[in-house]
Amino acid sequence: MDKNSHIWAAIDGLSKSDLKQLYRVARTLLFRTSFRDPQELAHEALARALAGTRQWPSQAVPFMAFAVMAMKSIADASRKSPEQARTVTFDGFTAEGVSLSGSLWASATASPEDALIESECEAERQMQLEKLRRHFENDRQVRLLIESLANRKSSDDIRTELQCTRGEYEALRKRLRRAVVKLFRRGSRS
Amino acid sequence: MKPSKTYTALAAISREILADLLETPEEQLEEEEAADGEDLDLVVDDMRATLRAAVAAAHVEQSPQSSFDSGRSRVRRMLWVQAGVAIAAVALLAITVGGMVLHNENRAVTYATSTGESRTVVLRDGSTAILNSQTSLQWVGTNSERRIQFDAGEALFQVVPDRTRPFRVAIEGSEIRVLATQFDVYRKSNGTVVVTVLEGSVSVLDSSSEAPSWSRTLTQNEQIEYSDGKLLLDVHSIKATEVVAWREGLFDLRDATLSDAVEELNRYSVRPIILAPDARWKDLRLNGAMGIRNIDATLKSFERIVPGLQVLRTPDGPIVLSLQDHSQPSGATSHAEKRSPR
Repeated sequence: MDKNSHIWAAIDGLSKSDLKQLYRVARTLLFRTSFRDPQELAHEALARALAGTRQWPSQAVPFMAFAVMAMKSIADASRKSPEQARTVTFDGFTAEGVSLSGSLWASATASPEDALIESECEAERQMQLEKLRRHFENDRQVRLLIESLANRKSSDDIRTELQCTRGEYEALRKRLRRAVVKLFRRGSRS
Repeated sequence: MKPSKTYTALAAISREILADLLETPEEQLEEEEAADGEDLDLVVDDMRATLRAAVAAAHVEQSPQSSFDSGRSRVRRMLWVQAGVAIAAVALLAITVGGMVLHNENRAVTYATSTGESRTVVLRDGSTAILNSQTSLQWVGTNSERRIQFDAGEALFQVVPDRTRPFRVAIEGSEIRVLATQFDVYRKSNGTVVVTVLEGSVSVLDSSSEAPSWSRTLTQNEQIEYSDGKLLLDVHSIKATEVVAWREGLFDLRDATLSDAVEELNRYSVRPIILAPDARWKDLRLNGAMGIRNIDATLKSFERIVPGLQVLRTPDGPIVLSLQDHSQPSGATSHAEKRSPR
């Protein structure tokens, strides 16, 4: 019996409502990844489960919850170690006609290039944040919410600072979510 | 490396909006989507079709009747391929042509990528194709035949087994016939076609006239190159994984000129890259892996490693590479035999 049969069965058993939820979650996370379409992210999570690089503890965790966490984890990792880390391997170059093919892959993470990649990544992150700030230029409350979240304040502290009720806070959060989805519907570079 | 303040900020925003999404009732989300003119039903139908195709393909691969069964690793690899980059093409196309039946294999479907874009598509039979930059191909298969019309660019095919329906790729006066395998097809801008086999075997034959003037069978790690119905490089051995390094955003340069490198980079660059005429270019040879997804970073690396190289970036025009006067690429291998990197 295929050791992945339970994952195949779970995938096959996803309802329309489940798939919509997966798509929505992926869409919400898209702005922090290198993916350009929510389906890519959703499928990546499922593929990792099948490949065994993300283990699904099927006895303890419902498949949907696992899939959501897998997507979140991929999104988190995406900006920490961007794929450019492997693609910008110009340290493999030499103008001296010496082939470096043997050490090509191993040398892909040399530190000077890492620094450059990190600076490019950071620039991209700042652009994303700036785009959000600009979008809410005329919405002071959401702008404050963004700044408070950026400063790692808890939702209780933010509500106190903004002097808003739980319902009002949730409305702000919803405006932020819908804006993120619209602004980054084709990924972080959109 | 410690995450930056911006990274932490975006992570916090992400956490908060994800929490909001998960706490919002589905009915309310559907109302929001309706207000925004979105219909997730179409998207979800496509997601389901794609996943079912993957499940079906995996079952075919695992079937004891299949003489092509090469184990679970292959199934996993296929899923990796399917999930790798952009299965969304199926959805977008389905929406675009709206009203057509998703699983009708008789319907022609065009798949294309723009400059610098790479995406994975699941074909009607469950096979997959990873499209490289500037690629265009059409599924023109029927219920009795699997057929691709290859127009431009490069694609890596992973073909699912179906002995009753051979998989054919028509390209530039030739035809590639396969049963189940993994192979790369690259149609260069000058019309030259390069076929490389990663797994299994394929037959390539001239189809420019009624009686084929040549026909070859390629197996794993073999390549052939032809143009206008004529063989340019007959079947030869090659490390196929290096040929498809583009999947990883890399291009393998072996004793390549800067002109070779620039020609390759132009496949991925929205702005044309031009080499200023200079006799000294021929003395420079490059070896190693070149990044093809971040063109600017690659050009910066050129500037660092090639003494005297200047990269002129005009606001909207081409990017021009030139050598300063009196510069000589240090340690260059003069008169080295030129070899194409592909």
